[in-house]
Order: sequence, then C-alpha cells, then structure tokens
Amino acid sequence: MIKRVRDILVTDFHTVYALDSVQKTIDHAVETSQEYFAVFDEGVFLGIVTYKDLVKAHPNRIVVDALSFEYPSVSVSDSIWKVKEMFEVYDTVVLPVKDQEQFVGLVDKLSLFTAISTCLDPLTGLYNGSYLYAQAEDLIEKGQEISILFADVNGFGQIDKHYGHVKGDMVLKELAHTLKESVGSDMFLCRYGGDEFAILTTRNAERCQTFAQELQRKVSSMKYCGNISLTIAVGIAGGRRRKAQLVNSIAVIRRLINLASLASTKAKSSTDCLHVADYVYMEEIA
Amino acid sequence: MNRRSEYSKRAEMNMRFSDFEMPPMQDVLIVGRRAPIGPEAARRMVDILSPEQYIIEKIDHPIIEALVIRRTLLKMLPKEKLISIILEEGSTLADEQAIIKAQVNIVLKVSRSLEL
Repeated sequence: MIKRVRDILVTDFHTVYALDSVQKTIDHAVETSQEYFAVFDEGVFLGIVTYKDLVKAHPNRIVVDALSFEYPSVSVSDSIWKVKEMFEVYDTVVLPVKDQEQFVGLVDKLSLFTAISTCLDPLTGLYNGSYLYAQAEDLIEKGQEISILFADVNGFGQIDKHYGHVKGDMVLKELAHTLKESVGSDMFLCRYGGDEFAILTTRNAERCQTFAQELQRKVSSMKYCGNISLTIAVGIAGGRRRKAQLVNSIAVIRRLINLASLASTKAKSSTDCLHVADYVYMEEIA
Repeated sequence: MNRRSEYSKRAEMNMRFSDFEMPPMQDVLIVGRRAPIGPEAARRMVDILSPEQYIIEKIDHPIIEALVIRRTLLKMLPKEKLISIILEEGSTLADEQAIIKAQVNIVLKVSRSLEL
C-alpha cells in the first residue's frame, strides 16, 4: 500500500547547472518536455525550477535567479496525505524531498495523485479503507487518541432487491454525499465496503455519540433517488492511551475498526440504532 | 565609350578608451523583479570583482527584488534606514525590468564644542 513519500520518490529527475541561463533551460525544457528541473551548483542541491518559474523570469538570468524558494521540503517519511495538503497550499507541481536534512529526490503532483487515486472509491468518490488506516496511523504517531464510527445502512439488501442494483448504487452515491457534507474538518470519512462507511476522529466516545445521533437524524430526514428513505445503524469504538509511543499502531486501528463494525451490527437490534463499544487501552493491543 | 562602374567598400574604426569603473555598480544597485540580472548573479559578480565590499539584501517589494549595497555606507547609516530611503526614492524610478545604479553620498556633519 502506497502511503509514504518514499513510495513515490522520484530519483531519475533532470538537473541543470545553477549558472545555466534561463533561456537555455527553457529550450531544454521544450526539447525534453520536462516540467521542472533540480538545480545544482558543484554537487549541492539549490532548489527546483519549474517551467512556470522559467517563463516568468528574464531569459538572460541565470537559473538560480529564477528559483522559487518559498516551497518547503518534505520528508521521505511524510504521509502522502500530508503532501497532498501541501500541494493544495503551494502553487507548484513538485517539492524537494529530504531524509535527515539530506536532499534525496523529488515528489511530483502527478505521482502523488496517481497514488491517491488508488485510494479512491470509484462509485462514491470517497476514499477507501487504506486512507483511513493512513490517517489513523498518523494521528496515533502524533500521540492522539482516536475513535472510529462505523455506519451501516439498515436493510440495504432489501433496497437492492426492491429497486435493483443500479438504483442501489445511486442511493449509496447520494448517501456518501450527505455523509461528506456532515463530517467536520477534524474527521476522516471513507467507504469501507458495500453499504458501510467509516469515520475516523479524535473526538471522544461521548462526542462521537452526539455526532452519530445528528447524522442519523439527517440521513433519515432525506429522500434518496427521489423517494427512498434510509436509516443507518452506527457503531462507535474509541481507544485511550497511557503512553505517547505505541509499538504497533496498525494492530490498534484493526482492532478499533473491528470493534466499531461489531458495534454497528449490535446497533441494528437496538431501538436507537446506536451502540458504543467499551473503550480499549491502545497499549494493551499494540 | 567604355563606362567602368566603380565600387569600393571601406570600414572606419573609432576607438574610445576609458578607465573601467571599478567597481562597476557604484554605491547601490537596485535589481527589479524581472531584471536581466538577478540577485544571485549580482552577488557572484560583486564577490568576484570586489570581494567583501558589498552586501545583497533581498527585498519584500512588488517591483524591486534586491539591493546591492556598498558596505562602507552601512558604517554611516543603519541598514534598515538606508534601505527604506533607497526604496522610497528608487521605486519611483524603477520598474520590474530595471537595474538601476545609484550614487549615494553621505556626509556626516559633526559639530562639537569644547570647554576650554
């Protein structure tokens, strides 16, 4: 699974010399169809010059005077999601990558978005489970406590049987849109599989419960595909921690997803379609 | 009657000798954001031609990218004050493509009275 910058690191990039002229480098870019170059001076990496930087600069300038120094570097161990956010903030197609302050390569927008597209669910446009794992791992590494909400459509099999699978897919697509609009900026939503959606958050179980009730109300107040009503069962599992460092964060995430999934099954038989699993100490799992 | 056409090609050469201005950028060089010479090229030029005599200051300004300033000026005026005066005056003359050299004379007047 692609999740770190090192998995998409570009090392066979084109380079130019710091004292090459901008005009020469533009000609080279056109000739080789390169969108960017790494700029070196006597073996030392100075920065990246993009085609956009070059055309904005005077052709007589030396390349080093066309560099944009405003772009930060990323680390090989950074998650691809963090880099995605950086590409959203900075108007560039490429960022330098460092490993312990040493320049090791580049990460470009194309490779990044190709990697991210493998985490997208084609039906709903939401991310899939691998996105949830990556985000949860990052939160745990930062020392955060996490909770997972598992939302499952009640009687979705009946909708498929009654209206057909095509309409069933349309219902899921519309439901995904409702969920996406409902989650807060501190939450990570994904389609886990079939009619199951998972939400990762740092909110505690009590706040998750309040959110789940609001979500249930919102979902049941709407009509899908014109006239279909839906309700969702929500299971919640939360992890608490005593230590800052954990040995195996993946084991923790798996356990919490499993607990939340089982809780959503239990929720189906409860009157309010909501079940909160007992919290677990992450250290006991990891 | 034979008519011979005449054709000649001559070249004239004029020469003008003068001292190379050393250093060529006088006291201050104002470098525009899209000037043909950028701050790094200017830095390398002054470092080779007049080592340790100039400083390069990158400027956060919409038109001007950097100033090359003779160090001796900074012994007479604080850097921030000098830069703000140069920017105030220079930005009315400069555009993004410009490289402008400026002569800056600072006369320090000292007057003291002594008890005799």
